[in-house]
Amino acid sequence: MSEKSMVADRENILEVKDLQIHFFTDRGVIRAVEGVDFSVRKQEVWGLVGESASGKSVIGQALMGVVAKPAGHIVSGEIFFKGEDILKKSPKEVEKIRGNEIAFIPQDPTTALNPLLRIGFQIGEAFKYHRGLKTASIPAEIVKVMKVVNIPSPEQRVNDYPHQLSGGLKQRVIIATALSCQPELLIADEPTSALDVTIQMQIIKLIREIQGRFQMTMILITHNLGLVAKMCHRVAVLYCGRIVEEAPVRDLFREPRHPYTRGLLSSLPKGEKGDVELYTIPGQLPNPLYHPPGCTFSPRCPYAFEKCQEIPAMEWSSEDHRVRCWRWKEI
Amino acid sequence: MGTLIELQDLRKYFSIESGFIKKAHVDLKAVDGVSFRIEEGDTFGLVGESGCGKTTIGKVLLKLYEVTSGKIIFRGKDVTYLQGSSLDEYRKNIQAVFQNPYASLNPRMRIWRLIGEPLIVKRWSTQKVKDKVAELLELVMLPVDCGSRFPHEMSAGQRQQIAIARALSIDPKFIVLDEPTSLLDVSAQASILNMIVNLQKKLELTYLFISHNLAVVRFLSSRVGVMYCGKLVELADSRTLYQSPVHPYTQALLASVPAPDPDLQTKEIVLEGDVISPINPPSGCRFYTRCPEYQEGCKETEPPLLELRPGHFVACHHR
Repeated sequence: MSEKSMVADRENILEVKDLQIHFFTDRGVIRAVEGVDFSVRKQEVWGLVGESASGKSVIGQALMGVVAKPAGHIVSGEIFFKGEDILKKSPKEVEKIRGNEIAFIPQDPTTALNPLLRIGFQIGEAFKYHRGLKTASIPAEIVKVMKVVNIPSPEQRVNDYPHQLSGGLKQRVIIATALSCQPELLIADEPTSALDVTIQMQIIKLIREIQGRFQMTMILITHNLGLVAKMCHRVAVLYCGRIVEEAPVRDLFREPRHPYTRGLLSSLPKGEKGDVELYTIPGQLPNPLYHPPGCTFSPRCPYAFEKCQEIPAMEWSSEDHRVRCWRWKEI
Repeated sequence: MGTLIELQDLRKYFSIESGFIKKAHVDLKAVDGVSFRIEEGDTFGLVGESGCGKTTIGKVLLKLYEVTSGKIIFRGKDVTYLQGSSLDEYRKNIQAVFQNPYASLNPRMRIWRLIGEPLIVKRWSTQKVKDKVAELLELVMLPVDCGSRFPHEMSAGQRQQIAIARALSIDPKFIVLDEPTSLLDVSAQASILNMIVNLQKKLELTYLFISHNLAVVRFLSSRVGVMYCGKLVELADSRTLYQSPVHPYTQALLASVPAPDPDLQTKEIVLEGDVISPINPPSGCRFYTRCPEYQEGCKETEPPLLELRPGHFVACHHR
């Protein structure tokens, strides 16, 4: 497909190597992210899907440099953003990147906005810190950004408080704050999950327009496979802190290779009443304190055999498609 | 099989206070004239966005809210204003499974007590309750020995299985399922959906399935009603509704859900504006503020829910 080739030969803007993030709690160590490698190309929309507790949000937090302290630690790994390892930078230097070159859209706009501050102020903060703009010129800039995200009558709205806005408008305010410095990389963590369906559509349309218009690179973290199919160029599937499969979006939906990806896709409800039963992945997610040895999916996998006691290596099944399973060729 | 439950022009208004110094009471019209019937052994799906009144309908049927006006007919009997022992009798037929299994299960009660509480209320002996609970646990495919555990030891999907077992404890005829899978992951959701279907076949249950997730409703329901701001805008059997929706709101709603397949992306219909508030709904058609096919006259008169084809009802002036 043309869109696939559109991004296939671009250079990488972000490269993550062997990222491990652990949480040291009273009950033991939670290995939230266990060695994740990926790269994101310029101007592509890269999806990260997984169910709850797969570690997808923690990866987003690590890229922003906001993994919850004191429990959370980036135990090892490198995150190269435009060729420089941001994990080696001092907090001051990271602050210059965060919100400026890498921006973040959180899931729930209600908790992300400060209820005591006017929305204009919250959008304008980034101008002050990152652009060093004079206080006098900030209001005009704020109104400009609010127009970009289609907030109606922005001149009046700047003085509103978050509680005066609907959920959809709040999410637009969040997107405006994220856009204010025209970041190169936008990380969106479940940007539409807290919204109603018709409002979701508005926000999806807005994010896609903006991504194209400002030629941003985007990481979309979600559990919604419909959203992935609509927005992403390439997708990685995460299970218990490891990427089990990564592929261009069409390949993933057409030819899923990992048993977990297959299970996930076939457990989606489709069809009418009285149609076939849905496939269910047997078993439960493992306790985060005690991940099974070897392949973490093996206790639930219909194809598991002795070798699954060892962690499978990531293998390229085709040029752009990689999978972490011992038996991907047979299944 | 006949009609199990029927709603006739049901209304539920909530009185809310507004104003700081001059207190005034205004009506929040959560449900504003809704009629439909559910056949015995059938699943009726109710879809709509937040604030459209779908949960209120469920709670009115459970008699957790008093109706403002209208009628509820259960097996040919008017149950709208039941009280005392006849209300108890009605409630034996109807149970509920709610959205959040973290809020609906008391964290201090062991699972056998949670499931058996309706029976304890009915003064069953402890041994009889425990036997029945074991039976119910088997029915919802949980290990029998988990009866002595607490809810926090269970995953979200298992908690919802417990909630279903509790709903089944008094052998009801009718279950209101209010977003039972919206907090679950896809894999847990699939097993709960299969279970809901299988239990219906086995126990001849009738369901009211309330959800905002259109794919889930389609999978479960044979008839579906679409609600917008307290009113039904379209009512049809599931296949007709999903394959040829007629009301502009239904069309937009269906087009708003991205299909989990990159080659099946449908035409986009993006509705402008926000979901309107049921406190001061606009006059005429409530959808006119966002309707892509708005015409002169839409805001003057309210469109009635009319039968377009046999069994397919639509409330729109231009159909």
